[in-house]
Amino acid sequence: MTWQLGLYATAILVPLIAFVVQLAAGRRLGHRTAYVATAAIGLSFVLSLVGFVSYFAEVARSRPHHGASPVVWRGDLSWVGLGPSVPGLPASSPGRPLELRLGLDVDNLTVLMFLMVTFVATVVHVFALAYMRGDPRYSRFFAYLSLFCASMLALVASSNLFFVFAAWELVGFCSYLLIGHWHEEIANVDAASKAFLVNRVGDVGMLVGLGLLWANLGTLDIRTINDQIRDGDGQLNVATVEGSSVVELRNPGAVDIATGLPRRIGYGLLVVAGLGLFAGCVGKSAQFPLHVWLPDAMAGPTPVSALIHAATMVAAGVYLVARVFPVFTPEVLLTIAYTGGITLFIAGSIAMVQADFKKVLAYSTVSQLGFMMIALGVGGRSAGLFHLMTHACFKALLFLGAGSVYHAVHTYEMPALGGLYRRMRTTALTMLAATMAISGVPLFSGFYSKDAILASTLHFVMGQPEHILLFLLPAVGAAITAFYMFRLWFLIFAGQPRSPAASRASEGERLLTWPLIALAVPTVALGWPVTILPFFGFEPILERMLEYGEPIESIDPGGVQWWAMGASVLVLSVGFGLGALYYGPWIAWRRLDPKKTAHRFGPIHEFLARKWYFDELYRAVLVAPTLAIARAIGWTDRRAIDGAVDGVAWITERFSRFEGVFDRVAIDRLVGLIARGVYATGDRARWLQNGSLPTYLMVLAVAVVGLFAAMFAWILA
Amino acid sequence: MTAIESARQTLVILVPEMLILFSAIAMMTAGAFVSLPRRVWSIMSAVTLLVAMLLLFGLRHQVTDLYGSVALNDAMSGYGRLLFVLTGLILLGMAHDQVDDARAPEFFGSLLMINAGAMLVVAANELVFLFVGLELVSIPTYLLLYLSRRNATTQEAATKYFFLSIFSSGLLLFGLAYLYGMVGVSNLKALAFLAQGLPTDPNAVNAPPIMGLSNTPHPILGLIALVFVMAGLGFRVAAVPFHFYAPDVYQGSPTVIAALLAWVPKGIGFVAILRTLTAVLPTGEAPPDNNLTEQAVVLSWIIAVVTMTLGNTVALAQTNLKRLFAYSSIAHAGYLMIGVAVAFRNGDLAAHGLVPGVTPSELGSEAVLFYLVSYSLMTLGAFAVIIGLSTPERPVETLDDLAGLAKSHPILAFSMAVCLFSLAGIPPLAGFIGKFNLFVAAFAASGGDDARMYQSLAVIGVVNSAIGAYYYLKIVVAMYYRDPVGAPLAPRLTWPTASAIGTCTSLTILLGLWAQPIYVASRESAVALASHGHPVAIMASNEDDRSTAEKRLREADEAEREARARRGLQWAPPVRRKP
Repeated sequence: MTWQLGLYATAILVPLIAFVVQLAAGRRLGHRTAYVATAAIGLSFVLSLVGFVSYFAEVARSRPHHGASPVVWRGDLSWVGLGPSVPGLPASSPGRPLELRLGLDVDNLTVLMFLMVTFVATVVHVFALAYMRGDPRYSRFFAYLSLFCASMLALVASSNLFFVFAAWELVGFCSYLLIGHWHEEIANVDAASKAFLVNRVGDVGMLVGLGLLWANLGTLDIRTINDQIRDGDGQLNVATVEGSSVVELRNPGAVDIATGLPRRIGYGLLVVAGLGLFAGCVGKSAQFPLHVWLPDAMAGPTPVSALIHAATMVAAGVYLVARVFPVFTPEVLLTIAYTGGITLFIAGSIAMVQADFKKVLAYSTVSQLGFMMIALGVGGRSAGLFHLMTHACFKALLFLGAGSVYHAVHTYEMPALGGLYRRMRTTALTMLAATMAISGVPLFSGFYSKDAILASTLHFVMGQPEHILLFLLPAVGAAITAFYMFRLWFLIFAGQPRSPAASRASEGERLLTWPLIALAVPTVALGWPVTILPFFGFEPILERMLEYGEPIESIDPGGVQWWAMGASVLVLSVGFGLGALYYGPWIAWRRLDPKKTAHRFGPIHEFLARKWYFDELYRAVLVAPTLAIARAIGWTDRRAIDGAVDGVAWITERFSRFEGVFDRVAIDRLVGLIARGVYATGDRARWLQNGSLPTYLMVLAVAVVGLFAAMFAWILA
Repeated sequence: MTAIESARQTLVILVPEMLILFSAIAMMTAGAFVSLPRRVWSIMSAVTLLVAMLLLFGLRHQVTDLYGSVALNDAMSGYGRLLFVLTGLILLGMAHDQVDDARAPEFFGSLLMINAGAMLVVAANELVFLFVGLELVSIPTYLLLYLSRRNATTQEAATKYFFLSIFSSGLLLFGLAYLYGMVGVSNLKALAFLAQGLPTDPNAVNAPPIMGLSNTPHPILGLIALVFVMAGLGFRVAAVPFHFYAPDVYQGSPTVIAALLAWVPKGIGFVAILRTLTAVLPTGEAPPDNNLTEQAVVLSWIIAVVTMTLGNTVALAQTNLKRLFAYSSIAHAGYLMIGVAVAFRNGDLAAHGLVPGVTPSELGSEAVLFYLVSYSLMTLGAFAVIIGLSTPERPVETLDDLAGLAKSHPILAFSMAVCLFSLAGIPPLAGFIGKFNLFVAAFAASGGDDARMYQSLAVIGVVNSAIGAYYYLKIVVAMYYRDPVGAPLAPRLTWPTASAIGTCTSLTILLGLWAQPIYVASRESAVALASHGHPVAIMASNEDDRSTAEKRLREADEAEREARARRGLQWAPPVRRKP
């Protein structure tokens, strides 16, 4: 076990310990618990940074190539193990017939995720120190944040899908607690429940997937499955056994200990398992058709939206897809791509017409997650992950900026804002940077990641032209993104204030603005290590870091990159141009009026404003009938038993009447005869029967005791 | 081994039950003469249970003759009885102040008798003995229902339970009579041995098989037995369509009795299903072809699907807590039936690759037994919180009564939330691992012709657990996010109730974080359930030549040890007395 592993274990445990401390000493420390939480996550960030540098140094020494195994630090301990351990098997294989191992597995992806999560979390903690001040549940808020950080870090470091799932549920649970933080309003509670339950729907698939893998492959160790399910060329190990095609785990190590045969899973089952795992990711990453919870989740405090519902937890679905990438068969990957494509389009179209700017950001998050999914689906694994990193920075910045605006004006309604640029310059400029990043303005981080995604999809579509939609959807989606983001920025910051609150607004304290500046740095510069710095002779650090250990079947877009770049600049100018024409303050001569357009496309506008009627649809098709059935059966249960009892009573009564007649005629005489006989016998035993109940009981009790004593004496003899 | 020797061994292993029964009888008898405060009676009960637990530890190496005795002391019996003593103590903690002084001796006596009955069922190796154990649970339950508050709803609940329970006992007895009538043997291990359809003469090639249920000349009789036994036990576990009584009876009876009904009959019902039906159905590694197993699987598949779906759906619309928990317990019976359906499957999994040498039958039993442990803890914990909160003046009946609990009683609310999340199957709690095992067992059993059947069963189970999350979450939302409604709760929480709550909550978390001991216990129990001894043992007991018999026994022990080692278990041959 290397020291780095201890480092990462500490980075997970520190927030967890902070959580326990905050719970235990919450009363005594009062509001100072917030500093405990912030210091803990800050320490985790420092540890992750050390880990990153150390990993980078180690990788620089070994210089792995594309597709080569990356440096991996792993260590685990047996959590559940049944049966004797079998010596002589490689360490990567489960040493026992049935074993679940609790462990950490740190590779390049984990290193980067740690750095990203702890950085954003630290910044958000600092922001929340000021933003949440005066909240009645201030210390509880930070306690939950600490728990969230610990579980999120555990999620990205777990070596075993079982524990990934446990952490997965824990982050969902923290999200539930934090969405409902202001539970005085019943709408927030509903939003929290909705988030939790919609995620449970996704978990159905996840559990099915886990169950299938566990039952067939006998292991849930991610690295074992990833390394062994494909051969050296990145092809699935498909074999034909008894007429049906199965996928085998490659030797060595994955051999069934008893039979000596390789572990295998039917091809169809592998497809189902892949779809199941993806369903879990659909829930967590708010993809169509389970995207409905994320916009409602904005009911939580804004720092929570920034950390959990934009940067980290919702990206966990994308992370998991990337993590178990080799398990997905081509059919599943295509499903992933189309799900991402549909999601990014639907969510983007809804974001265009929302008036609440936090809702715009929420749908924008859904849409960007769709971008990541489509990238992974077409095989652009590093493009999707790159977008995950850049998106975490600029979306966290956008949400914190939104929080800063809300702190000043106490509204999220864009019609009531405007002209804030002059009053809140730091917020406006940092948010402009983020807006340019997400829209894909060249030199900003988002440009490079979105460009990489478009290049991946273009490459895929050039190979399979029938899937042209997979290029068109993200291209149109990118234009939509630029449109709604510039709309948002213009409506909030440009022009003249449209309400008294907006005209009185002022920048908040430094604790609110510094986090924005801290996030603005990577928002602008995160793309440079990939593109600009290599020109000056540096290693393409980030790109390499993302590509280490990438499965071979993922694609390298290569030459189409320049076409994609052209396309992305084109869609950017379309989106930005439309946004400026409608909402730009300075173009007086040929202005487009959004109201008029909305009027002309009335039904479409209404359709988008009502979010494609998803909530109404789910309510009418799923929720209402289920509840109706539940009530109906509940009522029947209540009635049926009474009916049955009454019926039996009726039959019994009839029968007893008949019996009565029979009794009087025949039985009574016989009974009378017997009774007289018994009485005569009993008369002789009268000395014992003095008529007192206690005596009877006494005799009985003595008899029982005597019997027991005799029996025990015999047994123990 | 002589019959008297065998009887003597059986009596020795049943000492804990006899002690409990004796103590119960003594209490009920003494109650007629002396009037003591209920504290004394409950302490006496607790001491009895603790001594019984010590005795169980002391007797754990005792063995009995597989085919000669009415009770066994195998792993199943040991762990199961330990579980029932433990939950008996938890129930006692919940019940200690729920009855007035006048009725205390009868009340606690009945509680002890129920405990003894449950332990007998777990240990039973004989159809009649099993039935006696089941009735020893039922009859004191009637008494408990009548003893409690005497108002119209309680009376109605008691009457309903009484009549329906009698009815189901009749069904069960009928089924058991058929089982006995077909083979002429009532010893469960002997039935299991016969069910394997081994040839009468191992040396002759074409020898006719030993007659068992699998090759009875009247297969329809086997089906009748199967259906009636399932019906009789289905009532105990509140499986659809024998669930009708549960919501009414839970709602009408005092909370502590509802807790008892939600756990003890369900626990022993499933153990009895596993004990009897996996014994009579050929579920070994290489069973003969036979329709009865398939019919059993189909039957339990249907019951499982209908039970969990109905339980979960109807619970969605409930606001009365006890009704809600009644439907929740029905739903959990459905999850457990998944494991039963797997336990009925025959054949070997080795070709399939999950766990070498473990039959699906063992895998299913293992999952059921694991789930029973977590179910008992989380259900009793939830009921214990309700009991701890209720007072006669301010009972906790509906969801609204729990509103705002997190503010007024944060620790109780936390315990309740842990139990509810565990019931909903959220990791890392005991309930999640239990559910995971059940679903995995179903996936692992899916091979060959009925693969789709088991896969769909697992998927339906997972979907149901997602539906179930809704109504558990509804309670959590009420506790944590809503403001109190009506008069404030004024619980008088006593330490026994508090420690019952604490035990359930902490074990629910602990077993979620460290499940290894329960895994091992349920695996060993499942193997013990499925083992049907060695045919040699029967012959040896009949042979005159003792040295030959002993040699054969040693060989058989060695074979058994090897067989278990293949399944990943350690086993030492029992210490046998010289014949």
